[in-house]
Amino acid sequence: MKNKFILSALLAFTFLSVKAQQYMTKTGTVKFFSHTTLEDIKAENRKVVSVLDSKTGIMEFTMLMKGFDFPNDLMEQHFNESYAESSKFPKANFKGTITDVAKINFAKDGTYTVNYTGKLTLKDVTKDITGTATFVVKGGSATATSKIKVKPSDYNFKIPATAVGKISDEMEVDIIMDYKKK
Amino acid sequence: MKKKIALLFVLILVIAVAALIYVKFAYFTEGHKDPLKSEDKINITAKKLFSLYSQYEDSANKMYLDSVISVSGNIQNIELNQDRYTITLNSEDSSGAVICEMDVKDNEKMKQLKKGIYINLVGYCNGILIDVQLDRCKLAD
Repeated sequence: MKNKFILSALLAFTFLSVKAQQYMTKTGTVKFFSHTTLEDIKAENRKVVSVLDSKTGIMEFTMLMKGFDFPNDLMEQHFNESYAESSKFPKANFKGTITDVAKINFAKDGTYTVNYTGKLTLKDVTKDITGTATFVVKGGSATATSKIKVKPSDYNFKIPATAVGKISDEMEVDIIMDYKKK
Repeated sequence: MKKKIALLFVLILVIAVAALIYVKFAYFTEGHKDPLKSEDKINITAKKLFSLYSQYEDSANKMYLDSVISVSGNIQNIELNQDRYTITLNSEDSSGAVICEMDVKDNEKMKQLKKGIYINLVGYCNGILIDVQLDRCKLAD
């Protein structure tokens, strides 16, 4: 039910806001990387849905946890079944605002660095996130990139005793959104 | 008796080493199961798959999530994203579609495809956001 509410809100944000300029992608990417001396783990989800209001700076993205692509089936199975519990918590969501969106001239090709703040929800746990993003505007489209750090323990990711030491306490997360004007 | 114990010890050691090598191999070797080789494919049209997901997400997840789906429909869009093709199959519903991320091994075949043609893709179902999402898809003959 909560997932349907989030999606409805996303759709409403996407389709009902007629005055502001909307940018959207269905092929955004979120990658994470965990490094320890015992093991490196990386995965990426290339089907992240995101919308951005270029006037207000309000942005949101949502993704399916099962959409993370690992180098092999076993890693993916461990992630979905043991850590992320993806069947129980199928979606992750970020809602935030670019606080200085006016710095971006979406009509002029260029590179712009902006700040954002928002809330990331994973496994029904919501935490505040702040960061900087780089927008590359080219030909009316905009590619936004940002790096954040996420602690799995903050979001109730259960690390089994056998995997302690193999999974970093803090994951590096890369966000790449290839926005196109709606 | 000592000889038997020594033999048993060696046998256990060999099994343990073999198990360790197997786990390491499975964990660190890149690769996934080929969906085309699955014997449990579920055949469905893009129209029906999207319709079921958009109306009954929980039930559809129970039936299709993680399953190998053989989905057919008309190509609505073909997009190249970070060296991977994404094919959108028309669901005949303006609110969403079936979006299939293709296996990079099929990149050459993708160049032959055009919007509007009817195709059959086989891949793993991830669930629904705006569109139903499938990944590691391959073009079925």
